[in-house]
Order: sequence, then structure tokens, then C-alpha cells
Amino acid sequence: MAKRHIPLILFAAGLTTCLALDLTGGLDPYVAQIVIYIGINIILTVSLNLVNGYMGEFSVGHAGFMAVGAYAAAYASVNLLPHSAWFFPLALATGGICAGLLGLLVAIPAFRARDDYLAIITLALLMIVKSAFDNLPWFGGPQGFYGIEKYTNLSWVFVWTVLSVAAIRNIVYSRFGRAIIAIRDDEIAATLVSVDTRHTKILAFVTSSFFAGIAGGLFAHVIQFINPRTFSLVKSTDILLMLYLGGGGSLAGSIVGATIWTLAIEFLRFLGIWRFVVAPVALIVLMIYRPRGIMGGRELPWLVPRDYRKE
Amino acid sequence: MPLLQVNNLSHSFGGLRAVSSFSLTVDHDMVWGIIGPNGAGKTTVFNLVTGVYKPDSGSVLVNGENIEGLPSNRIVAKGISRTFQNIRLFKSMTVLDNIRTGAYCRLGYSPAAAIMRTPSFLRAERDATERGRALLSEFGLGDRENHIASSLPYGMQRKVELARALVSTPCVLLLDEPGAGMNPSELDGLADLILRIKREYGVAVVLIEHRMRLVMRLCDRVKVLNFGETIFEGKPQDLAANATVVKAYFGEADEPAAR
Repeated sequence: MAKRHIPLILFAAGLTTCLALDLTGGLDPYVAQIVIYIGINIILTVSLNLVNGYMGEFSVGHAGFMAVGAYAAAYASVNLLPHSAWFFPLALATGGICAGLLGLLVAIPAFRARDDYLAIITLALLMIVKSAFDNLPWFGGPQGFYGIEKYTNLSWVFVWTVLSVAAIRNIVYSRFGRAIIAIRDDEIAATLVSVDTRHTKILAFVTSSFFAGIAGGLFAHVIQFINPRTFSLVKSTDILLMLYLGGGGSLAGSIVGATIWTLAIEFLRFLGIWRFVVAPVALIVLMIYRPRGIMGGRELPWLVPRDYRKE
Repeated sequence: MPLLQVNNLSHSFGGLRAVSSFSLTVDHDMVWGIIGPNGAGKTTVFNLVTGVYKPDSGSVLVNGENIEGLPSNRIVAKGISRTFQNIRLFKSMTVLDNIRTGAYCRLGYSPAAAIMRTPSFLRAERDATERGRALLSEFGLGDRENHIASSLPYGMQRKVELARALVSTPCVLLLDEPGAGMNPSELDGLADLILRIKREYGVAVVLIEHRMRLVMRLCDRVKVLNFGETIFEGKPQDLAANATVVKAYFGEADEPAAR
């Protein structure tokens, strides 16, 4: 058995475990819910990492892409597709593609604007998305969108988490990933060593928003009710927080950051409203001692493709 | 057909005429030198040729093809590579990744192929890695490929930049003050390296340089710029005999001579 089969075997084992737990209901529903949120948050954080961590932009609109994915997937599964779990992947894909198209729109101003200006553009996007769902007649307005089936389970979350991490890893360790990091380090020099920065930015934004849309679709089908307030700036801030907690520019950082933050918010529940004081204070302390996040931009070796590892 | 032909290029920054009517014909197997005092417009010429600035007038032909309006990355893909006066490596990347980034335009695979890690993707990546390693070992940096670029000493960073410019297989290499900050023996090493690159990779070279030691050893022909105007064109040996050049570049008789 070759070494390169190990990831595939681990994937099969993980999926089998998830399927067994889903079918037998062997996991406490509360625990299962937390695990599902961890998966969704990993997808959100890893996808934001591509733009904010690797490319060094500062997008604050990730919740907007998530919202588009959530609404589009929910609309598809409730109103367009037959009511069967078999069509759930199609609903999710609808959410991902709609969010990806919106990402394409954001990539265009990103050709010129950077840093604070791009942050403002993405903030504006978030506001537009939120007020669109508040006011468009098809999505329930401020009351929200009801009647979404609970299709999201451990297996789907597992599959999509692995897919998003793998896809983003494979982009990072290719000419496109080098181009993305080159844009972060020195955009002018990047174009002058033949990097197509426009193409690269489109790829980064579309991939990032596609997976945010998938995460939104998964989220809608576990919480079963969404409204525009769910996807406010606070949601974007949450994702940013998980990213910088783990450290930008590292897949392991995103996984660790999303997991720790999701668990922390749950385990601190006994503190009541004080958990929203304690957790951020803990974060500030961490940032003082590890300003580049828990992983500090480093990667776990097994997340790096074999041909990229340093001998 | 010349590899690179620059016709009557002019460019102004506001009211300042940075470059006026600059022309240059670069043929195979040739080393051009561009010299002149600080602010003479030398780097601006490179920026105009590589598409960083759009010229007010004039044209640039690469292998006979007008590159007007092309973005920089497409111009590099057509065979014009450059280095920078202040080294501009990607400072968070390893040395090898810096060089592989330079191969962007020579790697044709699509994002989908990268995500799926198809056999053709893996082959292309392996080739790029091997080419990068070959360049590094040729430049005596074989043991540094996993070092972070910004951690290397200055002279090595210059070499990495050179390797990064070469990996896109250019036909013309534009070098912006490659000898800056080097001592005389390092300069001789650099001259040997540039001559070897020229021979082995078949590139023509255009060199902006202040260090006369390098200019004299390398250049077949020299152009002298002063305030954007070309004040001399000819063999480097004839430089010292030209009164205008001496006055503009080396200063008046009572000032110290060139470095």
C-alpha cells in the first residue's frame, strides 16, 4: 500500500464514521450540531484565508457571500427542487455558484483598489446584500426565510469541509497560489515576472466566495431559518476573528482557529452574556503574545503536497 | 529583425520631461549599456518598455510586434524580462518559490487542473521545479532553495532576482543597476555571470549601470542619458573622449572622477 493512498483511506474512514453516526443517530444531537458548526466555520475561514491571508487583501464582506449562498440554496431547495435529500447537493451548488458570481463582481474593483479601499468596497457589498434580502419580495424580507428542511448532516459537512480545504490547498500549491502570495508581497513585481494579476484576483475571489456560499447553504439547512440579520457585519467579524486567531496564510491555522473559536463560544455558554467579553479578551491577550495567530503562518507538513515539502 | 526596438519614446511626469525621443535597437547577442546621472530617465525607460508606464509617444516592438497597451505580464511573456534597482523579491517566499513564480507564464495549466492535480499539472510543476533548481545550482545557490528570500545576503538576492527573470525564458534581459553595492571583485564575478547567462540562454542584455568597471567589460554599445535626452551613443571606449558626456556624467575637472 503506497503512502499516497493514506489521505484517501482517512477520507473513506471519516466519511464512513459520519454516515454511521448520521444513520444511527449515535451522536448526541447537541454535540452533532457543534461538530457541524465547526465544519461550516472551517469552510468559511479557509475560504476567507485565500483572500485575506494568502493574498493579503482585507475583505470584510464574507458574511455577504455566505448570505447569498444561504438564501440561494434555501430558495432552490424549498421552491425549485423536489423536496428530497437527494437534491441537496444541487441546492448547495446553486448557493455556491450564486455566491461565486457575486465574488466575480467584487474582483473587478479589486483590480485597482487595495487595502482600506477594498475593505470599504466589501463592506458596501455586505450592506447591499443585507438590504437586498430585507427588501426583495421572494425571500421573506426582515421576517426571514422559513421552512427549510434539515438536510445538513455530519456526512455532508465532512465532505464539503474536506473538499474546500483540499481545493484551496491545491490552488495555494500551484502557480496560482504563488501568484496570490506574490500579489501580497509585491503586486507590481508580480506583474513584471509575468503573473496575470487580474486573472489571479478573479480566481481568488471567486473560489473564496464560492465556498462561503457553500458554507451558507449548509448553514441554512441546519438552522432551518435564516433572516438578513444573521449575516450582519458581526458574522463577518466572527469569520475574521477565527482567521486571525489561527493565523493567516496557513490552512492549519484556519482549521485550528475555527475549531477553537466555535468550541470556546460553546464551552463558555455558562458565563451567559459574559462570554462575549471573556472570549474577545482572551483573543486580545493571544494577539499580544502571538500577533501572527496560533500557527503564525506555518503549515502542518501533512497539509502540504508531497512535491512541495522541503527535504 | 531586432529582438527589441524602441522608437522615439517620450514620457512626462506632470511638467517634467523624464524621457524624450529615446530610441534603442537590441539585436541578438548584444549587450547595451544605458548610463547617465541620477534622474536622467534610465529606469523610466525600463518602466516604459515593460508597460509599467504608458508612453506619451513612441512605440516598442518585440520581435517586430507592437506591444502598445499590453499589460506588463503579457510583455514579459513575449520575452522581455527585468530586474529592479531596489531588489524586489517576494520576501515571504522561499528562494525556489520566487523563481517558480517567474515561470507563471510558461505554465499553461488551468485552475481546474491545479485543483484536480492532473498528471499534466504535476508534470508542468515538476519541470518548473527542475528548471528553478538548475538555475539555482548554476548561480551557486543550490543549497539555498528553501531559505526565505529576504533572509539571504544582498548579493545572493540579486542573483535570485536574476534567476527569477531568466526562468520565463526571455529573449531580452533588462538589468537595472545589477552592480549596485558590490565591491570590485564581486563586480568581476557579476560580469562573468552576465556573460555566461548571455551565452547559455541566448539573451540580449540591456544594462543600466553606474559602475564603469562593469560597463567597460560588458557593453558592446552605450547610450548616455541626461535629463531625459540621449547625449551620446557609441562604443564604451569612446565615452571618455566625448566632452558632453564627461561634463554631464563625470563632472567638471576639479570634481572627483568616476567611482
